[in-house]
Amino acid sequence: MTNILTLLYHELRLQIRQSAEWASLVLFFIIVIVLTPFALGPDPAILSRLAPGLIWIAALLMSLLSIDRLFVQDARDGTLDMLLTSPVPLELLAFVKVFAQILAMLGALVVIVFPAALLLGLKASVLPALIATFFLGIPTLGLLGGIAGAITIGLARNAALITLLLAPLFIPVLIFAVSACDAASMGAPYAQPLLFMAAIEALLLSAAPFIIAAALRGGQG
Amino acid sequence: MLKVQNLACRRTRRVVFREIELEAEPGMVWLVTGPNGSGKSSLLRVLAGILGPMEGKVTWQGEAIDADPAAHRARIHYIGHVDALKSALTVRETLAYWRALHGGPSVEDEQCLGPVGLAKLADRPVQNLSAGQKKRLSLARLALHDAPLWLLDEPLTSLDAAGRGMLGKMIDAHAAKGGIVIAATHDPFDLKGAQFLKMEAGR
Repeated sequence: MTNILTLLYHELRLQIRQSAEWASLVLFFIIVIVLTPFALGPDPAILSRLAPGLIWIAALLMSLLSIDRLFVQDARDGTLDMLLTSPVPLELLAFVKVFAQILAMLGALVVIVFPAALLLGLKASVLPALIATFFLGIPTLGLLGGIAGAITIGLARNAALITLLLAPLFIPVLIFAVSACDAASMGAPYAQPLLFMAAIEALLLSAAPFIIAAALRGGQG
Repeated sequence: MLKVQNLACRRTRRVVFREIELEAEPGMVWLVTGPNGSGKSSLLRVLAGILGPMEGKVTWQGEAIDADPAAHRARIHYIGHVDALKSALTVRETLAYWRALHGGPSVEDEQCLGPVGLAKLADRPVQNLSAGQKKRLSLARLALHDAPLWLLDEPLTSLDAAGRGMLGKMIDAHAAKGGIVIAATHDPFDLKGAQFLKMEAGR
């Protein structure tokens, strides 16, 4: 158990030390948000209505761009070989890695969602729903990203393939997240879409570590 | 102890090597030599259990290594030709990570950095190390935990003469304790009593 915590601590420390890479992803998020009023016009009513969807699209693109950081870098610098020859089960190592990435992503998002919400005039009543969808949706994106990263690890230019593989799988998360925010903005209860997101997340949490480990082992052939 | 019978390995569609036979008893050092592309690295990866063989088998004390992969991983040190270091960490933090990855009992930082000549650099960030020092750090893993089987892929790369001497001493000491070393190298490496396995050029 202490070992797992040490490993998680190590991964989080790596995430923090490499915060320059996160900074560029955060900057990307902010640019998407800042540019939208110029593209859609400055009408506050329209922007406020579209805000949850826009913020979610920016978050989704951000998590797509962050996938390369997961196993591809480890394969390049030889760390993956160490993971593959470690007595600690690969499923656990993979999970710890993805979990640290998810925590870093959530940390970054929870901070930048406030200026983004302010900028787009998001209704204050929608903010709790939006943050709830982050906590239920971002882990799903991270786990899916881990699977795609592990599957495409041996391929030379895998970024395009990852995007192609993942885009359709991201759609349910996006739909449920935005419908929860829409319901919240009309003052309606929004538990149902959140429960759907939680179900997807639970499914992936139980399956993803095994799929990732199998893909990493198989990718060596 | 370690026995390799009629081993063949395939990468994508190419057969890299076949009919490899090797037997290593405690205290033996094997040097795997051969030109680039002859499958030295692939052989070590098969022995480490990272790659599956196309045919043939690898056994440890009579038991196939893929029968209990976790037990096999606990008894090996596999050091690949890339250093597996993260430039954002310090030397000490890197060792802490390796300890957690390996799990078993380990020695103190200084005891493990001493033999590779890095004792004074424990708090230096990895990105400030030279290529040779990085190689030394990756070899420090050998001293961190006890494992009977060392699999070293091109361990001499970027090491200076002193570094090579130091690695030779580590290997001798390990063999004297009854350990097994299998090292792939295309540089001449002067080791007392080493056995040679010559791999032929790829086909």
